[in-house]
Amino acid sequence: MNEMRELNSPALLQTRGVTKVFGGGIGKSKTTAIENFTFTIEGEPPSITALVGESGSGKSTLAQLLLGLMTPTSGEVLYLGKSLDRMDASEKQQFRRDIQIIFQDPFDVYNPVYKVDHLLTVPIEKFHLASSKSERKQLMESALVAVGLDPQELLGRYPHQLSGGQRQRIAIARVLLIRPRMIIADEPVSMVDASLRASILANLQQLNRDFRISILYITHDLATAFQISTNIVVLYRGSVVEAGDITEVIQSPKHPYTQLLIDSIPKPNPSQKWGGGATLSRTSSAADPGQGCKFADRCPHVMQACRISRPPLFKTEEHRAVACFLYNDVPQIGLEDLDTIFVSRQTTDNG
Amino acid sequence: MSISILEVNDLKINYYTPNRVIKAVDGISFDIQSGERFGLVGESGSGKSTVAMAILGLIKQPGRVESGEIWFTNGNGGEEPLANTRVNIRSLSLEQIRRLRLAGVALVPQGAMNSLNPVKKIRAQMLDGMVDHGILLSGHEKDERIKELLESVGLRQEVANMYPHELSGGMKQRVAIAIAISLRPKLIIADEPTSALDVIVQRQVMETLFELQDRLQASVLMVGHDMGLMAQSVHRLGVMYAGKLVEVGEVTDIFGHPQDSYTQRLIASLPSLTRKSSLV
Amino acid sequence: MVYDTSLASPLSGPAGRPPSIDHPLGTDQQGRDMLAALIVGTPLTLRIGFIAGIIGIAIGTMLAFISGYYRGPTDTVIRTIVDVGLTIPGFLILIIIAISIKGNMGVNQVALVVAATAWLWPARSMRSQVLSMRQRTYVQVAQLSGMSGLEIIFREMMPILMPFIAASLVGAISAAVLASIGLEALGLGAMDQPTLGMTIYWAIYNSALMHGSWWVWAPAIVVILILFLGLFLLSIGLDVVANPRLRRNQ
Repeated sequence: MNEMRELNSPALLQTRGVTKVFGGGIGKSKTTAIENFTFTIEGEPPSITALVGESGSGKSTLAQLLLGLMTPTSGEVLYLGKSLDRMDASEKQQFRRDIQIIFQDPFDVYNPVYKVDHLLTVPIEKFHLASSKSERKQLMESALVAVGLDPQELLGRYPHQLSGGQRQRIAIARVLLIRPRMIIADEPVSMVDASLRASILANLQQLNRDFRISILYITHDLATAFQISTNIVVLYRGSVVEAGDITEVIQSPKHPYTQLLIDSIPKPNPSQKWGGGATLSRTSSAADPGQGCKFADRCPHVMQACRISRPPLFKTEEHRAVACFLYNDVPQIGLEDLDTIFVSRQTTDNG
Repeated sequence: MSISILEVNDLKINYYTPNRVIKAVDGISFDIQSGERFGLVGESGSGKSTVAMAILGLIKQPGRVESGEIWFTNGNGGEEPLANTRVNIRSLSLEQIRRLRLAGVALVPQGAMNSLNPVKKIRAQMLDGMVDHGILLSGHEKDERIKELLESVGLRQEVANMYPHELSGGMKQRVAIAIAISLRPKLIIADEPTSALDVIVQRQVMETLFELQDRLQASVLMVGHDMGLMAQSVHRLGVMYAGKLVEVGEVTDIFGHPQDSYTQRLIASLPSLTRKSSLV
Repeated sequence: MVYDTSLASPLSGPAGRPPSIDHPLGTDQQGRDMLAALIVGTPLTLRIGFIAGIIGIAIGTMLAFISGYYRGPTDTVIRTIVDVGLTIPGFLILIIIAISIKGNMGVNQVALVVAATAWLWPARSMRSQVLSMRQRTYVQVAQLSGMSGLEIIFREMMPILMPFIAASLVGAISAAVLASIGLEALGLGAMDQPTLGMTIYWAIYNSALMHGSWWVWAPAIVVILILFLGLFLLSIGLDVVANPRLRRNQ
């Protein structure tokens, strides 16, 4: 089924054939972090999409590229149809207002010479969110209260005086005040104590539900991804291997890598042990994948075709796409239409 | 025949800070049978790593082992001076503890990526432990031994001539395991051995460890905070909270019907992969 | 205690006299009162150090930020110039510049000559600081909050670098003082000013060593040593301030 895309409302954020290669200097080996990545984020209705991958999958590089903090080696990143490197200053400002981030490290987002207020006052100032000092104070306080913090306790303090959980919450409050259309959350809870993770993720869900902000949740942790996201995109060494409805993907993964990934998650149930047959990788994963499927040398179902060319995406169900030749009996789907397989409903409580 | 490799009796360890005394370990007792995998799980500050350090004789100022016993039976059958005897680790001299380490009790540390010497080849680091224990091997024997050890952890021979930075996190961790088992210890202590490793690599490393443990007929004490990992890895589990052991038992019992409220909370807080729940 | 500083000029007193009541540090071969010379000359030497040091740090810091923050071709050009400049013995460059100046130099001109190479080392050391800071998350957050490059440099990076800049400034001043004394001792300084270096020059020129007129050169050396000791202790003190700050930033 072909979706007719409305020509007069460009997607919120898009990448077209984005490739990012690192290294490649004299005598240095090249690493391709992201390869020919085409992806569309509509933004409407606002939903939470998980981008899952292990280290080396390119997910953090993608976050940097989407935010314009890094330029792609080839391809382009488009915001509302306009390429990031062809924007003028005011368009850039609007882009910054619309697409924000929650970083992984709750400590490093703060400049240590300033009080934590600085994190909130700078965007207020630069995006002209308040017209007076009192309005600014009110804006900051209500944002802090909305994420469950007490402004009296926190404003005026220095970052090293607060806990990791508090620091991350303030970072979320910052995003709240800016009211972007989309947030990229790059491992927002991996450096936070386990006991606080659920509540911080709840804050993110709240942003999506109550303020209609789309979230791209980048992580390696499938369990938390499952808890808050509607859709998932699985990355392996810079390419999409599987995508679709997160419940379906997790309960019946189709790509051998996804199957291996889910199988390897240590489930807190002693009677559900790790399945057999994990291939011990004997080579360093930095080896050049060559022409064929990147997963070929670890895949239990590898075939001739897999070594010759990269598998395209096959649409195996209404809400599933898998980049694997095992499914080449179903129609293909282009990367640029990947978002059509996503379940488009706003995240609600209890999924 | 199942014997107790390790018996910890009423261990108490304090840390002395300028302001107060912290009871890091407040009277815990447990035992590990030969061939068994025992897990010690708890959040940071629970005292679990301190217990592991005490078993290795590594508690230093401002920490002090106040009371209790740590009985270790080294059923090595080798020429080790302490073979087949039951000793109280607390009563050993520094020299005796040094000899016990690696040959009797070995450590796979957290973040092996940081414990490997960046300027020494892997081969040299693997031989270090052996040389330290006075084991003399001819050049050929050394090569054989290294090859054997690397193979047992699923690494190619070429790794011996590489430097740590040329290896991935999982590979470095496996080297750490190879070093730990090089003298066939009876007890392997793994302290958060897979933190910072990806899920698939973690599984590979753990499965390697289990395989080796079986082959050596050794026991494993696994210290960590990941309940899921414990469920997959150990036979019996001890839950620690604020220096005390709040629950000990077979891992199926603990996950099936946890008795203690803290244990129940720990299990309940794990995000599920099967059912979405309200997070607040 | 006020001393007649006009005595610092030549022919202020009888030539070549050892210390006496009239001239507590004696006079040199051209009749300069040595105490007066030191009183006038020390601030002059310091002034050269300060001017050259401040110019060096200012230019060096500015180039370091432009080079380190914006990267690209500008960075390559600046970096190459700095690398080449630092490889060639700096003192040699200064001599060549000083020799090429026609006519008599004043103290300020000497300062400017020394400033010609004073910016090289600060540019390099500051650039590496900028490079590592650029990767920090708080800089990325500032970019995402709509701050422009210049704003980020001044509001986010400078405050953190202040202790480092201060320590580098003291280093630059010390280096400038030493370079100026070197130039002057070779006769490439302000000929009619009694700076510490010039005093040394005249001592050499008039063979004070051979005449045994120790009062002509020894006091100047002592003052130079005290000056350097002072600057050195200052830089140690600043280091203590700089490092805990930097350590806390990790």
